[in-house]
Amino acid sequence: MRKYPFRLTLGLLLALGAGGSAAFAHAFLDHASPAVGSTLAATPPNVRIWFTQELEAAFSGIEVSDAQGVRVDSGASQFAGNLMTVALKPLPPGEYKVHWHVISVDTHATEGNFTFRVGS
Amino acid sequence: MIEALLLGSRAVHYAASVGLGGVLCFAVLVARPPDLAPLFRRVAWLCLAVALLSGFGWFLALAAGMSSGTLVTALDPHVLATVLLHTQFGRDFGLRLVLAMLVAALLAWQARPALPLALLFACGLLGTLAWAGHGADDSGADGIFHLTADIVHLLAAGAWIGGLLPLVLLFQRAIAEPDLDGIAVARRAAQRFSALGIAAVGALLATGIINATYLVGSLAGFFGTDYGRLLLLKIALFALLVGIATFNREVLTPRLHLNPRGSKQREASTALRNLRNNSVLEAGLGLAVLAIVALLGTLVPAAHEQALWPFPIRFSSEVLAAPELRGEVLIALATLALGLALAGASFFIRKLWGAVIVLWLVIIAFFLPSLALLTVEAYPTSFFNSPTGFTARSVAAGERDFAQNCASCHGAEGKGDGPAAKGMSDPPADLTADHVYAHSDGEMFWWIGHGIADTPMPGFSDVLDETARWDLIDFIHANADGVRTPQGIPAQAPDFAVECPNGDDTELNRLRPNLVHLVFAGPDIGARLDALRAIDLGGDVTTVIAGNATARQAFCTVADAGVAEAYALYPPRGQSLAGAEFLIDGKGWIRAIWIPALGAGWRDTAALRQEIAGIRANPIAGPVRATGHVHGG
Repeated sequence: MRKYPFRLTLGLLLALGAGGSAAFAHAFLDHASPAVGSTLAATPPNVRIWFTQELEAAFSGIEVSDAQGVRVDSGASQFAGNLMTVALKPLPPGEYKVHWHVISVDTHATEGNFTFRVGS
Repeated sequence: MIEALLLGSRAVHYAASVGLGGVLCFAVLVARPPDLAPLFRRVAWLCLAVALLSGFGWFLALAAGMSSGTLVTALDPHVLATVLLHTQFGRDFGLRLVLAMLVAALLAWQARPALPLALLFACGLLGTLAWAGHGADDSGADGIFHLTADIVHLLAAGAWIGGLLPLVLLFQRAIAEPDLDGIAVARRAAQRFSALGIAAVGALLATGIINATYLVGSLAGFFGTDYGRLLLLKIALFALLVGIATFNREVLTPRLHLNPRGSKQREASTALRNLRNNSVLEAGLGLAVLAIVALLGTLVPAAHEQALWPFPIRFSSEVLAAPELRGEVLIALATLALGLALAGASFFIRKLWGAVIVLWLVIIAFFLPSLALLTVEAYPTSFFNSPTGFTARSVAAGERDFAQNCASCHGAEGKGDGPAAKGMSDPPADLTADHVYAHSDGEMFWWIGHGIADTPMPGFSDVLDETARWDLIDFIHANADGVRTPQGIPAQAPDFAVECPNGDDTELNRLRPNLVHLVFAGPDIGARLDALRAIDLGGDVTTVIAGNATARQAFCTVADAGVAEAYALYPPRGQSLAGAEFLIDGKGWIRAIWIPALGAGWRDTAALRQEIAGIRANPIAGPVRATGHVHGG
């Protein structure tokens, strides 16, 4: 009768595997506000970027700069799950560059850039 | 340096965790001869110690990588605390540290219930590694499913690969101290381990397929990316492992006779040695697999990369649409299936093995030309996905490049009737014909870049960069669609950025599943806006205004370039877009277009409502043409 506990234990072990939840893999830009490459009529209050993964807030951030490379964001990025937000100063018409760098919860680092315009 | 430490400590940590889980699993489920128990315990202690050391190495390397510093800056207490307390990896690491301590306590406590409990926590230690690899891409149900598959995969690997070392030790003892009891113990252990192994192989296969579906996604991903090819190598090693294990089970284990005399005794002791050697080989292959796993975890999964197709042909079922060839191909396929079934059946009638395999090879050779009909020419970029997302901006950019580089042969409207085409014996393709829809974006990308052999079509890779080529493909699709929209055939709406009063919706495609009523400003836009403000088309309709900034207070407005150029392709050619209105359904299809030249039409609210009701009542089942899954920077 040694077979019985063997199978029971095996079943229990496999069942134990079923549990837990998390989000994974490299984080890529899913969508952004202002949209990537868009042209807005007036200064948006902030730049928001949604990623395909949840982020490690301690090691992720957004920097927004104008054509001369001067930072126009307020500095500290805010985080909510896969959303990263940074507030903006009032922007004169022109092109602005958004640089983001993130580390996803499974430890992979990714970064990228996009631009948007204010005024036509 | 940091990269090497990361990779090395990962590989060692995987191996030690698998070894710990394996030896405890073996002791609890397979065999624990009293004289081997202390040795098993020492192996467990060793694995635990190595797992702890390599775990700290991994943690340090990651802390250095995350803080984009060196190993020295990573030792800064502030950095260490941040990684440990404020990252998922750190919290997982902390949990694993606690689990390791529990295993250590249970190993030290030699009472009877300690071992199964130690196994339980060792499984926890192994399973939580799933959090440090490529688990599910998405959170939610999909994520839990993928994560569960990952955990089961790790546990099954532990039970099988990790159990090989204690198995070798058990065989070794039976060899070193030849007595009948030793062979009987070895035989029983081999049989039980084999049963465990079959369960593990089944679990590894099932969960491996699930993982590959998420992370590789396609056949091209397997052959065309580093990740995929490395995974193929891993699968090949796995197949070799299963082959050796099957030989051990089917051939060698039955030779461990229970009451051997004379030649049978010699056979048994040879089999025992072979079993030991094979198990050492299996363990070595298992370590190679674990090293690949550690490497895979640091690469970008194939599903997120462009796959470079290495073969000159690819599978295509196009031929089945041709009635004169369909029969030939179907007969070849049916014969092949019959051959496979015969080969499978011959597995049970061993005398026929050879004959059936020869017969099957002859059949395949005979039908090969017919089966070749199921393939078409392929290019390295055949399975590339467009990174553009089919936007108005890319369509408009493609239109400009088309006028400059393509229109002289293919014609201003792409109908293959450009001035330079006159007198060509091999006329340029009509890019508005149905065949445009049969080609993948990746194939068109290759032709535009490298030309088409034996035709006048030249390559443009010197003139048009990759982005320009993808833009051109978007224009060709939109242009071909625009020939069909006046006949009422739906077309995929090019995406563009919008600005909405609520501040949340930022792109046309993100307004889904709402219907979009897209209105281009005409001379009477003021009156039209007043009229639209006064009517309610329903909560599932979003009105978007193009070309009028003052509409911003009350409506979503277009916040993107190229929209007028791209959408001018869809009304009948030569018609102005001023005052034109589009209805785009909740799946992104342009379903109806109204232009002022058509008379009162949608300016009559009842007619507009009726049009919207018609779209609501007749949804299109499928989504719009799939766009790429590849992520830009």
